[in-house]
Amino acid sequence: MNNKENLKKIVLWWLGTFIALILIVFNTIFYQTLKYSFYDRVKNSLILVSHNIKDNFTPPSINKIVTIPSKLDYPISPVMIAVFGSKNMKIIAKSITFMDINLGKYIKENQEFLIVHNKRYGKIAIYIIKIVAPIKGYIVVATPLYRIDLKLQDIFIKMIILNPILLILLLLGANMILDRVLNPIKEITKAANEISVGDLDRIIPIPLQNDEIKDLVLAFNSMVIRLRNGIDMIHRFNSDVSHELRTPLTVLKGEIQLALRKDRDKEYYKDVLKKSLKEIDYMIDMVEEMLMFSKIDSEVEQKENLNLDELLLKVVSKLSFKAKHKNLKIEFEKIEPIKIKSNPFLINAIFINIIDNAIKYSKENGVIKISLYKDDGNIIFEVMDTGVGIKKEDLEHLTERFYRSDISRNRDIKGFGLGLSIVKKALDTIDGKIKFDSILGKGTIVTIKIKDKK
Amino acid sequence: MKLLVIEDDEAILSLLKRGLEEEGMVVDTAANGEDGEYLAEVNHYDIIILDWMLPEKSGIDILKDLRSKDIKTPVLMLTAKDAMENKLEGLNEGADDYLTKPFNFDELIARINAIYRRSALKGSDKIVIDDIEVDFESKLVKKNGEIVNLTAKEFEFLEFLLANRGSLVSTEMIQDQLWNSEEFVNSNVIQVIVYRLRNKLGKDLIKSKRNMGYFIE
Repeated sequence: MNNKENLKKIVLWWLGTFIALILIVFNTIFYQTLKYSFYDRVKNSLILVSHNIKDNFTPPSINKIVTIPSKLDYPISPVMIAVFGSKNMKIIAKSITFMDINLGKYIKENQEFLIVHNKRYGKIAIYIIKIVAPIKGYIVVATPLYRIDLKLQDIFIKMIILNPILLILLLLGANMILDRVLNPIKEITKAANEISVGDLDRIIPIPLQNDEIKDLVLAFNSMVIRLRNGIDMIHRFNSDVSHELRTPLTVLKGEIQLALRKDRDKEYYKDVLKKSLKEIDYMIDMVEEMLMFSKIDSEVEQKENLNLDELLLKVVSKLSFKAKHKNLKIEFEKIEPIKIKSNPFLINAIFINIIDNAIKYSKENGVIKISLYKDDGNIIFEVMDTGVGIKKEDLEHLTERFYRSDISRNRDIKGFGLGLSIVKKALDTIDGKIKFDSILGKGTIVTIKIKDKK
Repeated sequence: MKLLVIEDDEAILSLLKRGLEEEGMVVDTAANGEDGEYLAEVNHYDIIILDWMLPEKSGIDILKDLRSKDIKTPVLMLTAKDAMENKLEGLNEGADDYLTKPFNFDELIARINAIYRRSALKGSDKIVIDDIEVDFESKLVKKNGEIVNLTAKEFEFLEFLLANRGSLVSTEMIQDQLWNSEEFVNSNVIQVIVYRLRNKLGKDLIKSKRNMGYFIE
């Protein structure tokens, strides 16, 4: 929760700083532009007045200061006008609005337009033009800027007041938008917190708006569904396992209970122990197959250079005692030396389970033919048996976990329906395929194709 | 009491047969669904013990078909399926009881006896006729308050006649009930049992009709 609030604070802080900087820069530019445009207008007015004076000025004949009448139609007022003779820089004419400012000293500055600061009247704009006729001299027009400055000051104060208000309003708006953005995230967090392993049926309601939040929700929901599938698979596996364990446990429990109901002779107890041992062996085999099944996942990474033909021979010699037991003949039809970089555990699991199945489902005195060769970039491993065969309706279920056909339900044939799912899982891992061709009662050919990645 | 056990696992089937026979029950067996259903249709059984997952035909399908054919033999489902929905399905389809594997043998026998009392003996576990008292629960028979020792077959015979009290039971029916289908039965055996029972319990209890059968009033 703290993190979420921090996120909002950080965004607002950066946004506030950014907007404030923009406002300062923008307002400064605006204020300065305004100021210069005001001053420019004053300058233009002064030029206008000065030219007007220049055109209409008649110099006095006597050595007396004449009064220049101020016209009402001047674009600015008050305007101070003075004409200086260039001889001694003395005023020869001035308007009645002329205030006691020594304008003469600014003529020396050699500038047409200048703004000076007077202690009494504040800022004053001055425009100076030179005249040569009818006399040599200067016309100086000036006007105080206090009105404009007051206006500018007023604008400046308004800016100082309005800008923070604008900033605050923007931040409030941003706050609202952030809340709208962050609330769905809050909802997601809440929903995510409520979802537990035991309760994966929940999904987060999908928002109406088609935006990134919706993408997030969809991604989250699909993750939950994937998790649910994974957990369902584990549940199913557990329930399959416990179900498969029930049969041997039923026999064990029943036989022992029955034996204990009354006194029995020695042979009876021996028989019960033998039966119990058989069931325990069955359970041990089952646990081993289950371990093999779950180990496949962790075996993907390790790859070694393998001689497939050697591995196959090892597996066959390991299983040959089982074949002898049923008086089966194992023949190699075609064995090529094949080198491959793959995982030995997976390859072994494939060889063992396929050959073991062939032995299990073979009738006595049967023949098992094994081939291993390369064909068109694929490694082919083929096992043909003269066994009981597979029913058509069973074919597609063969690699399902704990699936056992009616024939294989007979527990004289040891097996739990995990063997072929182990093979399937191993083949999926190393990019291989399995195919069954079978005639019921005659036998089965299992063909395994593995891509030979050099 | 005559039972049919339908169970595909050989070890469990053998266990059930031995255990139930030790209890004096007569047990027929079937190792797949179709055989089991056939036996249930052609023979009379007091109870059928039915597994769920069977080759050829599943236990639940057998149960449905039996009930649809109006065969009302009590069925006890004995299965590894322990989910509540399975139990409900089994009971709703007409099973009389449901027991999950691995089961307790004593519990199985107690449940079989309970079903038998409910169906064949109509709920009673004791029947008194004049001075004779038959307790089906403890399998004890008393005459004038004193215990009379009966063999398992003698008790079975008496129990069967009492379950069909008031109606005539033929020797074929008795033969079917007291022995399983693979046993060879000499017809004299039934006469011997009747003779012994009459000796132990008095002449008037078991009545006979010549060449037709026996009954208890």
